[in-house]
Amino acid sequence: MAAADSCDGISTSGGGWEKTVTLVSSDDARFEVREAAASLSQTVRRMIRAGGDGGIPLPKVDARTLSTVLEYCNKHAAVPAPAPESSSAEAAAVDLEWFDKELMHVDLATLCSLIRAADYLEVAGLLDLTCKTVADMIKSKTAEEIRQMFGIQNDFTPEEEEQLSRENAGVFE
Amino acid sequence: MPPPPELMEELIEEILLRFPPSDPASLVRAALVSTSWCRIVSGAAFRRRFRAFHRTAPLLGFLCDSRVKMDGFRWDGVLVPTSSAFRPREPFAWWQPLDARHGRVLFHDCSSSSYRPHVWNPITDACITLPEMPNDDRDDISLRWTSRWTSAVLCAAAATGECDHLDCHDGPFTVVISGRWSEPTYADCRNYSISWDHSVLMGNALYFKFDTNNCGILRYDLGTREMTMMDLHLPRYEDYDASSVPSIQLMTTEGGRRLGFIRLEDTRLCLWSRDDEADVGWAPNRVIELEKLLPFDVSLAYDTFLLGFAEGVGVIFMRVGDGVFTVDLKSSKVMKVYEGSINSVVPYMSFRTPGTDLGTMTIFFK
Repeated sequence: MAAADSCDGISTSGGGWEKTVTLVSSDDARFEVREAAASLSQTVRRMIRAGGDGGIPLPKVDARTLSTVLEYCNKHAAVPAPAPESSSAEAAAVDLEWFDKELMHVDLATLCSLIRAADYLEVAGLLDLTCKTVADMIKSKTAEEIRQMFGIQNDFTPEEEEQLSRENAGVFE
Repeated sequence: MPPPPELMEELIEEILLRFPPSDPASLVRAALVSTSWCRIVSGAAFRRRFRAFHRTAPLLGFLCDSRVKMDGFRWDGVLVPTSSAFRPREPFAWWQPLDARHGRVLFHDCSSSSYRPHVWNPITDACITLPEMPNDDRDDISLRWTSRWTSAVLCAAAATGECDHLDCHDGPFTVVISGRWSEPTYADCRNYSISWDHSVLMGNALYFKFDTNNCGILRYDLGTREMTMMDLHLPRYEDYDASSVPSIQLMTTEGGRRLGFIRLEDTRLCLWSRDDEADVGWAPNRVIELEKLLPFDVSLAYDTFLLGFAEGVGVIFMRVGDGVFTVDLKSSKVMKVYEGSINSVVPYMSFRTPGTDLGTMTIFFK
């Protein structure tokens, strides 16, 4: 079956076999990952269905970014056959929240790379998490501070600039 | 440090969508970054997406009566911002705020001997004066003081449920006036006076509280235009009458699906809700210990008043002495928002995003 060509298998700690896929970053690094985790990416899920040889190429994501994306996916993908005595759903949610928080302890450049990757790979949860993190970073900043953070040029004409500062005088300390 | 990799406009939009609706100035600052960011923030598509993403209109401020010393005294309507949405503005002389919903505020002009409601849109600053209400008792000056009637303002489509109320503040609206006129009488409520704190909207019905010893609720169905009475038999609380109307605030619970009320019992805020489907009547829902939230003890209970409930956002307004506080029922977070002896609060919830082009950003902070 063609769809199985890019899928391998690894032995899980529980002794069972789990389907895995190989993802290839833009700089040719190969990542073997559980299919359940990789399928959090809608882009990868479609490519698994389409099938192919020698791993799934992801030419828009470098190895460093992809490894963080996969860290997220591995944690968030439902672990198959959880033991009934495993921690409660609430504790799991708290653990996941803590994990997300830790994962977002990175600089703005890394966050922007993750946003681009999450968008390209269509990992909705990660796109939400990274965009929310950047929003929280910049929501209290002035326009000039935001420009400096993102390296954006102020391209308003002097007239527009003057009009805007006149209209918004007194709003910003 | 090198600048981060450039993000496409769609991704900048994804970030800006997650800005807090309760701080409209943050989006204005973002709009001033560059022409591209300005175009994103002030576009109609962003406006729609921002509202759909956050779903619940944030609390931007509240309206209250403020006592003004003159030769005698008078009460003016004041808009108090609790967010960056409004600049402080002149009080509305003699105007008493009665209700606010779906982006509009309803006022009564207390200097007039008739009832002519005014509907004001704080976002656009547009104001409409409605036709005078019929009054067959012209000598009765008490009509001025809203002790015998109450009213509500809401989006005209609330009756049919066809509007999500995310961006309808500029559309058609309905004003419902409920009072004790001799004719017509729609419900047998002649011996009651209607409490003048604002009503609660649940589904397509408005609920008004009656100000009597036997506390009752008037339900007005916006679809069928029928009125029904509901009893509010409450267990009395020990030796002081906590079931008296001023200490009760109507509200909704369970995400707006059930009618509820909140009342002060000693040092606790007690939430009750009504499950009509299970036909169990009023049942305790939740208890909030005030002593854990703010400096409070039982001696202050007699100087504590519930002032209002912000629909959707689930925030209670209460006054302890001269301090007005908001209590967020979800997070239990308490904030002091005003200093002054006020008797009622009309919370104002709405979305406020920059206009559709540079020129209309002016109105944003008018």
